[in-house]
Amino acid sequence: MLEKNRITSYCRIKNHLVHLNGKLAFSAVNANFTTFSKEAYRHLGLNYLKFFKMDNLSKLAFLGAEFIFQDEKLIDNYAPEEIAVCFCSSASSLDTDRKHADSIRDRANYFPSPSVFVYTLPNIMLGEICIRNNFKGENACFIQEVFESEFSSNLVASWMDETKCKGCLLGYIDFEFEKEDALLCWIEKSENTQFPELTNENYKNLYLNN
Amino acid sequence: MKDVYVVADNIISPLGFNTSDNFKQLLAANTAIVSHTLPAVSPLPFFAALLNKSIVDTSFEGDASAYTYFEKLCIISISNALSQTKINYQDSTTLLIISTTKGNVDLLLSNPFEAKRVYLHESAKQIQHYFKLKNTPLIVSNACISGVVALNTAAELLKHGCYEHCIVVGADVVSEFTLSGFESFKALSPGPCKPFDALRNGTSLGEGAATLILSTQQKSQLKILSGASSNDANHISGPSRDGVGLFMAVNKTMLAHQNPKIDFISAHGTATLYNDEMESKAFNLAGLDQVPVNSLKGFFGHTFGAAGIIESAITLESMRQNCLIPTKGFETKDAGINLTILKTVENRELHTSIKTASGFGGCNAALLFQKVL
Repeated sequence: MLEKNRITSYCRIKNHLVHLNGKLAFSAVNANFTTFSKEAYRHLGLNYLKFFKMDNLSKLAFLGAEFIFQDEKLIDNYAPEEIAVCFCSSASSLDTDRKHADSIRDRANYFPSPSVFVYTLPNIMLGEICIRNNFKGENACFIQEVFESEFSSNLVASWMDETKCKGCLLGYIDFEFEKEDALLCWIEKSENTQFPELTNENYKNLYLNN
Repeated sequence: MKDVYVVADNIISPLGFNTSDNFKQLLAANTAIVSHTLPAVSPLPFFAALLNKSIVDTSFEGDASAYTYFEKLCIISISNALSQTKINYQDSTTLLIISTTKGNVDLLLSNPFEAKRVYLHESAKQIQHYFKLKNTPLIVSNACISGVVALNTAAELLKHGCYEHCIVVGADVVSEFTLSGFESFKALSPGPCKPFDALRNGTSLGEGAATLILSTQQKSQLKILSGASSNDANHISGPSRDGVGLFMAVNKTMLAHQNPKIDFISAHGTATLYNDEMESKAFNLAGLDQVPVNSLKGFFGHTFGAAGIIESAITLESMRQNCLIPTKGFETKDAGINLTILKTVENRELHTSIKTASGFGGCNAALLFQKVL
């Protein structure tokens, strides 16, 4: 039986380059992140106004998921509660935390906003993707100093093997000081050996080599 | 698959610095939520459960000035829990898992430490070095379900044999950062919060830390059976209106363990209008409306990353003593809530309890504790 946990699609976003399954899918290298993300949204032909309310971390994660799930067949066979999301990040929501802190720093100019504050939780990016794609399974959001493949690939493998989920969006999503660094992998059981198995090495190599 | 036992626990809250002192305060119906006038934290007086910082400092073993307030709470709590066991926590068989939503975020507004200290992983490193731990700690930051996710993750790693022991600590502090945010959301009660009550009108913030030490090598009378989480896929800051998301986390948790008879539910019960109603719907969908339920937010306030672990530690003490704690602040039945809410201390045999949590981002989680017969 060749059925194994495999990475059947992945998206790497870094330096304003989007690689989908190893091929360059979109780039806007001379732009800032706001322009890059807006152009990527346009490139995907999206009509989803909630995108423009998101913070940069959520936009980054959301775009990665959109590039992967352009191929709707990937999730066709699964019920909403069978699809999990497991993300790690280094800076967490600090990009937005700083914005919220700036809004309360000066009592004479005090304007905390719920629409900013809600994004001071890193797992909101999982929520945004779940809302968009109707994913209702396991959710977990972890913080690591740098991309580290072993823990999260093991955890997702054990979720898959215990049938806590049948598909999982596993990823590392980091955004700080206008720099994005994201890898998102769609994991499912597959017999097709053209897809890499979900192993610590394979997951790490997708991060390092793309 | 290995069995996972809870071998030690601690709670650091304004009500006490160990589980047993906290439990005694709950039996005496004492709340930690009082009015504070602290211009440095909020322009207006506010109700919250706050620790006394000088007591925290005097309870700290070591150079208190070298650690942030958040780190000190974690360290005091872990130290107390470790003193109850003889595990070799410094070798590679032990993993520390830290559950927090915001860690040292208060440093963004005033920081006597190095700038990098605001990163959660930097803070985790300080705690790791204090205890001379071999493994890099794992950090869970998943809004209000962080504590339950941390315990579920620990149980998952242990039953697969990745480690022999996990120290799971949860902590968050109340600062101007969080208080201003929740005020902007209009989510705070003008007085101590009233979970599940007809007149509930928002939550109260609290701060604290708690630790559970889980082990496959040492045994106790209490097992942790890993649970499940779910997403509502509905709204990033509002609870679902139908409770289906929380129901799914509860249902998956129960089905994974042969659908046991549940003796007690330790609910999330934030005392916001929609959250408590959502929980009622979820527990009704799961057929648990006749099971005694409490929320501890009226005692401790909402302690975010610590909440799931504080409430689990109290649940475990309830199971040891066969004694259930009432819902502080609950007085009047709400027509929209159909649950068996504990109003007085009740003594009854407890074998299996479920702990649940729900939070921003539409996330829900549940886990089971079972007493070994």
